[in-house]
Amino acid sequence: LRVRTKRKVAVAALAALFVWPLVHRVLVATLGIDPWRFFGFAMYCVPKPRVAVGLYTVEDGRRKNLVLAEDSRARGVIEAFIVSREAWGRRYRPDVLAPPLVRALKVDDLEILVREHRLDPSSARIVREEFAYHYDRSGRAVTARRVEPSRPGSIVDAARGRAE
Amino acid sequence: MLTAKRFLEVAADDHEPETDSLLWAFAVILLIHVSARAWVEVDGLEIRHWLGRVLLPVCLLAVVTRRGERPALVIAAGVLVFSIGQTFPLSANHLFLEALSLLAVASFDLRKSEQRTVLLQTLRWGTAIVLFHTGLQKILYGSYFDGRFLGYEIARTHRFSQLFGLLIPPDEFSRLRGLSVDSVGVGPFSVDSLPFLLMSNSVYLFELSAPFFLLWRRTRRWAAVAAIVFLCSIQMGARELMFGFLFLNLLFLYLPPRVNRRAIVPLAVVYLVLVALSYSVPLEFEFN
Repeated sequence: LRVRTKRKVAVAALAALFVWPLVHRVLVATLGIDPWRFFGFAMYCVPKPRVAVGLYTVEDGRRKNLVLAEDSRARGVIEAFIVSREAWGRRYRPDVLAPPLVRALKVDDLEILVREHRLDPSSARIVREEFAYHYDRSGRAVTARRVEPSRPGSIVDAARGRAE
Repeated sequence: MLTAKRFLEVAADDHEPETDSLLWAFAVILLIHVSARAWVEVDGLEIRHWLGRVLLPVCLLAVVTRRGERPALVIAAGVLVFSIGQTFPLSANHLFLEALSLLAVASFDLRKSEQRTVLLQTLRWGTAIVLFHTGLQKILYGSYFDGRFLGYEIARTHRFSQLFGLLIPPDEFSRLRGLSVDSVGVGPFSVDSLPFLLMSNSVYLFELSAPFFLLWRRTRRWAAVAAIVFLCSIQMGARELMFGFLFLNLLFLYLPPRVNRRAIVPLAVVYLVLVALSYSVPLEFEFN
């Protein structure tokens, strides 16, 4: 390539470099992607995303929290989901997790509760948001909604105890 | 009309520096950096790790001896792009910056003066843009105005508490250290200490203003020195040495060529020590 062309390519690349972090900020705000990832230069602006997952089913008309064994394959699958959810944000739903989990846990109804911790802009405190995804016995998504964060129980929290 | 040439020339010097020496040293330090990082990832056993460990030092040798310099730079850039592909979306930001820098160097013919000039201007502009955005993002997230992000980091890790402890009254410091970042409702992480708030706000103010002084010829050298001092102080808290060294190499581009040329050997020794240490003792910093 001639120098003149290379100059134009360089300026175009610099323009992209300038615009991308602004787009990145919009994606963080709208989709909840990880501010620390995707080359947005937003490291050390907010805490790293923190996602945990709880599993529930309905048994004898009562909601029951499912507890996974520490070394279970299901736990490994959920931990992999957590990593992806932290990176890609709210658009990354646990739909692919549901069919194998329904089979492995032998339940007719599965609720995957995704908990997200963040530093609240108004109060400067740690707050939790929860998203509940319901699946039927075939692992097909029934509903997905944001819920009030109030339910205790066993959760898979890959970040707890994670080395710095 | 603002042409590409005139735009890039904002980052030019009054007198053409020895771009050959400056850019060669930049490429050498960059390849030492990526080679060392490939080796410090002690636990990495995937193909990208081995490609990095084997190919990047060979590329470094080619650039040092100036034999097959351009193919070596293209291969090194390819290794990094492959590594990004393998780790995406978890690839660290500095990996992108390394890959972009290498792609830029590999895209120009370092034997031709005019191309070197364009490359130097491009790299200087790129560095200024990155620095500017690190500051702008802090404003857009709004977490430095009342010191809440640094307050959170003080609560989370002793690295930051060691660094900022002197700027906060003891009772406020104890309150922050007692906050559990794992618990919901905990806080507030905002800090009520004037020296701390001045420091927290000066971080993004420096990052926003330094790029203009780096690009303005009259202040360029002093701005580069100030940015290096700033970078070193940031690293006392963040301790992400690899990003620190990468950015140091980029900031050298604003200084006379003798600076980065003379830095090659000391930096190579530091990198060698870090690689050796990473295989022997647990360290207080991250190879990030």
